[in-house]
Amino acid sequence: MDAIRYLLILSAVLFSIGAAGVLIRRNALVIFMCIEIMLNAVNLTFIALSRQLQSLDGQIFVFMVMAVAAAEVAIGLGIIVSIFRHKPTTDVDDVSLLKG
Amino acid sequence: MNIADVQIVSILPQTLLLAAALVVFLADLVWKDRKGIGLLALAGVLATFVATVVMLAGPGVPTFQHMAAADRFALVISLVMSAAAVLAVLVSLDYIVRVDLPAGEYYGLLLLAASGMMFLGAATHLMTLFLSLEILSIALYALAGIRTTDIRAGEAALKYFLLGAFASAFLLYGMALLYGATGTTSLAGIAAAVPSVQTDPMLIAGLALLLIGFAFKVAAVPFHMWTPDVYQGAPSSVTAFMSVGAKAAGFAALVRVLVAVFPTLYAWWVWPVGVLAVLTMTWGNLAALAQGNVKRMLAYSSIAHAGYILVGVAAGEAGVSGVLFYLMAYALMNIGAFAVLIALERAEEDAAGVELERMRGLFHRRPWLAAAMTVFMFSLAGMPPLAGFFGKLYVFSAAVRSGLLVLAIIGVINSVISAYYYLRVVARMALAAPAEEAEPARCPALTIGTGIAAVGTVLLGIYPTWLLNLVQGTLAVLFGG
Amino acid sequence: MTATPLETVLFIAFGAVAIAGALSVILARHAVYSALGMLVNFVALAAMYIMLSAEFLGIAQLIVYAGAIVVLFLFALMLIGGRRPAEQGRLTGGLAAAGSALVVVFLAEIAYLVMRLTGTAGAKGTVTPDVIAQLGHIQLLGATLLLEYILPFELASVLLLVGIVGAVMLARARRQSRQE
Repeated sequence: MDAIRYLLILSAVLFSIGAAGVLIRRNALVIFMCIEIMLNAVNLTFIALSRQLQSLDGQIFVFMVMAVAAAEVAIGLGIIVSIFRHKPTTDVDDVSLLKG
Repeated sequence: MNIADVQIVSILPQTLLLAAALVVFLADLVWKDRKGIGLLALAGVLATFVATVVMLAGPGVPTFQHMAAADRFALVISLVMSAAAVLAVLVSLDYIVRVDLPAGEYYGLLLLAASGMMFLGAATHLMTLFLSLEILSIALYALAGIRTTDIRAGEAALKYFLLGAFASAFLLYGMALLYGATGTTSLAGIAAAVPSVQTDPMLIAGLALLLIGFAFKVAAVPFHMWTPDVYQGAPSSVTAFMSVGAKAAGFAALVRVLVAVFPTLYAWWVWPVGVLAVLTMTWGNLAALAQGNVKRMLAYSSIAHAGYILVGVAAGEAGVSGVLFYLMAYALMNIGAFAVLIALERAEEDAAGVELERMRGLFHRRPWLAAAMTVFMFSLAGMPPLAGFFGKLYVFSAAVRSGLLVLAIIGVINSVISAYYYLRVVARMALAAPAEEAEPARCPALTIGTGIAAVGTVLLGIYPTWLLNLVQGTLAVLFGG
Repeated sequence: MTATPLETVLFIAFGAVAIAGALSVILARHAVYSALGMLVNFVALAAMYIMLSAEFLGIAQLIVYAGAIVVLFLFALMLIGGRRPAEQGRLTGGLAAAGSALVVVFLAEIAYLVMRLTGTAGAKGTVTPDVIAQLGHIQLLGATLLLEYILPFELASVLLLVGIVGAVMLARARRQSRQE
C-alpha cells in the first residue's frame, strides 16, 4: 500500500474515532476534545494530499484551521465556564443536548 | 497571481462593517451610553447598505484575486444582510438596555457576524468560504450566550457551539476531499476540474460531506436538533438576526457551490437536496403546530422556511433567483415578527419567549403593532399579495420548471398546514384583552424597525418586479474575472 | 509518493500512537486522561507533518495544539473541578450502538473510496519535496500566504478578534451582572 492511501485511511480512522466520541460521550469538554481530534484528522488529510499533489494549498488550509481551532477553543471554553458558574456540571444531559 | 489582481472595492461592504465593529469596540471603552453605541453601529450598517446599493448600480465585477468576487449574487446577499443588520440594530437599541446586555460586545459581534455572512456570500474559494463561515458561526455562538446571567441562554449557546463545531468538522473534511479529487481549492478551479473527474468517488464523498455540513448550518432536518433550543434560549434580537442572517449566508454558499461548481453533477445532488427539503418543510411545520410559545413556534417555522428555500436550491440554476427573492422576503417578515415579540417581551417573565396567550387582545391595546404582526404572519403563511407569497411562488414555480413537480406540491400542502399556526396568532390578537395586561414597550427605534419591515413586506408583495429584475441572471458571471 | 522502509516504519509507528491517543480520549473515564490522550495524538501528528515535509506546520502544531489548546483544556478542567469523576455514565446502550454503527459505516465508506482511488487524482502542482528542501518551507509558505492567500490571512485575524472579544465577554460576565 502506498503512503498516500495509508495516510488517508489513517486520517479517516482518526476522524471516525472523533465522531464516535462526539456521539457516545456526554461530558461537554470531552465532546469538544473529540471535535478537536476530528479537525486534526482533517489536517492530516490536507497535509498528506498537499504532499501528494505537490501544492501548498493544503498546508495553507491547515494553517487557517489552526487559527479557527484557537478561536473555537477560546469561545467554547468560555461558554462552558460561564455555564458552570450557574450549575456545576459539564454533563450535556443536564443541558438537554439531544432534546429536539 | 499577484497583488495587482486585488480590487479592494470588491470587499467594500464587508470592510465597512469591520471598520464599524472596531469603532464600536473602541467607543465602548470610553463611552458608557448604550444607545449611543447602538447609533454608531446603526451608522455603520446604514453606510454598508448604501455602499451595497451603489455597487449594485455600478458596472463590472470587482474581484479579490480568486478569493472573493462582488458579483451580483454576492451583492444581493450583501443587500439582504445589510437590510437584516439595519433592522436587527433598530430592534436592539431599546431591548439591550431593557435586558441589560453589554453594548460594545453585542453590537461589535453583530457587525462582525454580518461581515462574515457577506464574505460567505462573496467567497469564490474554499478557504474564504470556510473562514467566513467560522467568523459568523463563532460570533453567533458568543451572541447566543451573551445573556450570561441566564442559564438557558448558556445552555443554548453550548448546544449551538458543540453541534456547530461538529458540523464544521464535516464541512472541512468535505473540503479536504474536494481538494484531493481536483488538486485545487478555488471554486473556479474545482468547477473546471469537475468535468474531467466526474464521478470520482473522492469527489462525490467530498460533495456529500459538504452537503451535511451546510445542512447543519441552515438547520435542515435531520440536522436541525440545535435550532429550537438555540432560537428560544438566545436573546430575541439575536434570534431575529441569526435566524435570517445565518440562514441566508448558508444558502448563499450552498447555492454557489452546488449550482455554480457542480452543475454537471446535478443528477447526483438533486435528490439528497430534495429529500432534505421535504423532511425539513414537513417536520418544521408539524412541530410548529404543537407550540404554545410564539418564539419557539417561530423557531420551528424558520426550519420550515429553510425547507421551502431548499426546494428552490433543488431546482438548480432555475431556482437561484427565487432563492434570493425568498431570502430577502424572509429577512423582512421574520425580523418584523421578532420585533413585535420584542415589544411584548418583559425582561423577567419572558426570558424563554412570549407565550401565545400573551398575544390576546393586542388589537385592542396596540392596533398598529397588531396590524404589523398580522402582515408578518400572513406573509410567513404565504398569503398574496405579500412578500412571502411571491417568495414561495418563485421557488415552487422554479421547481416545476426543473421537473420537480412533487416537491412543489408538497411545498404547497405544507404552506396550507402552516397557515393554521400563523393565523392562530392573529386570531388570538383579535380576542378581548385581559384587564391586567402590562403595556408593551414603546420605543421610537423599535417602532421604526417594525414599520420598515412591515412596509417592506407589503411593498415587496405589491411591486415584486424590481427585486426580481435585480436577482435575475445573477449566476451569469459567478467567479468574477 | 513512495516511502523508504524507514519512513514506512515511522509512519506506521506514529499512526499507531495517534490512534492510541484518540482512542484514549473517547474511552478514558476521567476527562484529564482524555486531555492527555489528546496531547499524545497531537504530538504524533506533529511528527507526521514533519515527515511529510511540512516542517513549519509540524512546529506550529506543537505550539498551538499541543501547547496552547491542551493547556487551555486542562485549565478549564481544573477550574470546573478536575478532581471529581467527570460524568455519571455513558449514553444509553441503544443510542451509543446506533452512533457507533453510523460511524463504522462512514469509516467503511471512506476506506472503500480511498482503496478505489486512482492514485493520480487531481492535477499536480510544482511544489515537490525537492523544491521545499531547496527554498525552505517557511519561505515558500510565507510567500504563498501573503501574496496569494492574503484575504484568508486577514479573515483569520478577524476570526481571532471575534474569538478574543467573545471569550472576554463570556468570562467577565459575573462582574457585569453584579453591578446591578
